[in-house]
Amino acid sequence: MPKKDNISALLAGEIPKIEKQMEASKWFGEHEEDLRKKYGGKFIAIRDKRIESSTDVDGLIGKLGVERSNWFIVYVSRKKTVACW
Amino acid sequence: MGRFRGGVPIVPTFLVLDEKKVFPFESIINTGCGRTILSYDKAVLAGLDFKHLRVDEAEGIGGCTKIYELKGNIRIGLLDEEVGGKTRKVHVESLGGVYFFGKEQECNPSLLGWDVLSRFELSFNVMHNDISFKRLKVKPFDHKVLEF
Repeated sequence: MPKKDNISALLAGEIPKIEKQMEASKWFGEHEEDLRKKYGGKFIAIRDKRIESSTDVDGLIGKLGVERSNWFIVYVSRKKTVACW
Repeated sequence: MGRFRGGVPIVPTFLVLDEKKVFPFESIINTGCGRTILSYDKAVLAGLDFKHLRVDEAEGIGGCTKIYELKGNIRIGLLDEEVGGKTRKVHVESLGGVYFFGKEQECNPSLLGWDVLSRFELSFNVMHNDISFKRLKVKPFDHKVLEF
C-alpha cells in the first residue's frame, strides 16, 4: 500500500523539474523565430539551453536518455501560425 | 501560476499515475475543451501501451480525431506559484481518467480542459503576464492542496 504522503514526496522532487521546464518554455518563446529557421517542422526538446531534435516524438524521446521526462518538448511549426485549439 | 507564451495561456502541470509516477509538463488552458487531453509525448514518456487504452473521438477545429483514454487512479497537479515565489502550492485533482492524443496527432500540445478548469475561478491578466486559479469551494471534487 502506498503511504499517504507518497504524492507529496513525489511532487516535491518534481517541482524543480517543472520550474526548469518553464524556464525552457520561456526561452523557447523568446527564440521561437530563430529556432524555426533551424528546426521548423521538427520536434525539439530543450534543457538548460541544450536542444535535441527529431522529425517525430518517438525518435526525439529516444535521444533524451534516462532523465527524458525532465526536458521541455515542443513541436516547431514550419511557419509562424495562429494557435487555435 | 500560469502565464502566456505566444499569446496562449499555459500552466505548469503534473500527471500523477497511481501515486507512483509523476510527469511534469506545461499544458494549454483550453476553455473550449470538455476534457483534459495530454500530448502524445506524455503517453510515450509514461510508457503507455495504446492497445490497452479506450479509443474515443474528439471534435475540434481540424475535424474529428481519435483520442485514447487511460482510466484509473489519475491525478492532475497544477503548480500555484510563479517560479521564484516563496512558497509553492500544488492543487492535486483526482480524475477518473485522462485522454491522450495518439501518434497521428503527435504535433498537438497538452490541453487542460473543463474537467479540471471547472473546479476553479480563473483570472487572466495579460498586462502582468499572469494567470491565477482560485478554487470554487462549492464544488465537491476530490482534491488535495499540497504546500512546498
